Amino acid sequence: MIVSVNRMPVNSLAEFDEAAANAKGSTLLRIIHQGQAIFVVVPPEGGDSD
Amino acid sequence: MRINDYFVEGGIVVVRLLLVGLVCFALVEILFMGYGRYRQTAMAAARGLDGPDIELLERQNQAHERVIHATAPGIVYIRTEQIVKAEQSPTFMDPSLRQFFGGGAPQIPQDQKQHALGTGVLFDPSGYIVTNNHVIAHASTVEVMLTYKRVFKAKVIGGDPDTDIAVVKINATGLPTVPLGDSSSLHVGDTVMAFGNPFGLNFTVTRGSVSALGRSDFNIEAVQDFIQTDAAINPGNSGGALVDVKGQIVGINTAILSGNQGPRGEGGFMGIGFAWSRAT
Repeated sequence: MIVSVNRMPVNSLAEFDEAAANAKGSTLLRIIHQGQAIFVVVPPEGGDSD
Repeated sequence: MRINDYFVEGGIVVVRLLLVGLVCFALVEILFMGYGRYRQTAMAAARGLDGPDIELLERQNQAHERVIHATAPGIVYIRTEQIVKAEQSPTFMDPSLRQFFGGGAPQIPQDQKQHALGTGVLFDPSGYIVTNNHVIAHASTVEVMLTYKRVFKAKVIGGDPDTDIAVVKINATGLPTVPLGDSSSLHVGDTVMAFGNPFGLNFTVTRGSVSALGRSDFNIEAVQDFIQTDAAINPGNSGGALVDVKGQIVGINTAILSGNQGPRGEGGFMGIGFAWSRAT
């Protein structure tokens, strides 16, 4: 479960979409995965390497 | 044929025979020596290898074990509980639907308990623990489990979202701690170990190298000096210690890079983890 985007809490899909749209550069997600908290850095689109 | 020619030709034959004999002898020796070496290696493999090179690796393992035994008692498992307000769907508030259900509607609990797990590090024997703020943020209760399964209720002393660092305290004394190190003396390539509870697998140790220093731009503005490491960091490692070969804290494991999100948005280890630098 994604609970924050760039350290702004998100409580709904709409809030997530808005936060993700406003994100510039890397996006920092706070994720609760099977009860484990972790920050995940997602590089900007197009930043992937082949 | 003169008698001299006869002797010369005979001599040549003898020399040739001697050469052939030498070659055959050498071939036999090589074959048997090769077989002997093969046999020796096979026998050594059956009982385990030895030798100065293997002893060097054994000494390295012993050194890693010393670091782990010294550090592990100072690592704690953090479990939090957060009360989350569940949004009531407007559909269920519709009067006609409520009438359909005989005046009532399916009830959705207003409050839901959400649990999160992470890691912390004892840095003071009187029970002070450092962890990531994102591990304990919004928690209504925080529990700490020590290495020997002793569980304590913890009090949040303070948390700083800007640096993602928090301190919690348990009521206990004489606890083992992990000494603070000097991350400014780290070099790329240095061996480091990550201590934590990934996926609830408590008290896990992973080993790797410092892959890069001074990483930034992760939307944690106050920290511009992350240590990048290939020591495995996964969900649950947050707040755990990254220690150097002297068993000293050089960083707090904070984030991972995930360029390939899973179907539920989860991130997994890609060999790139980030630890908040102790020097920060």
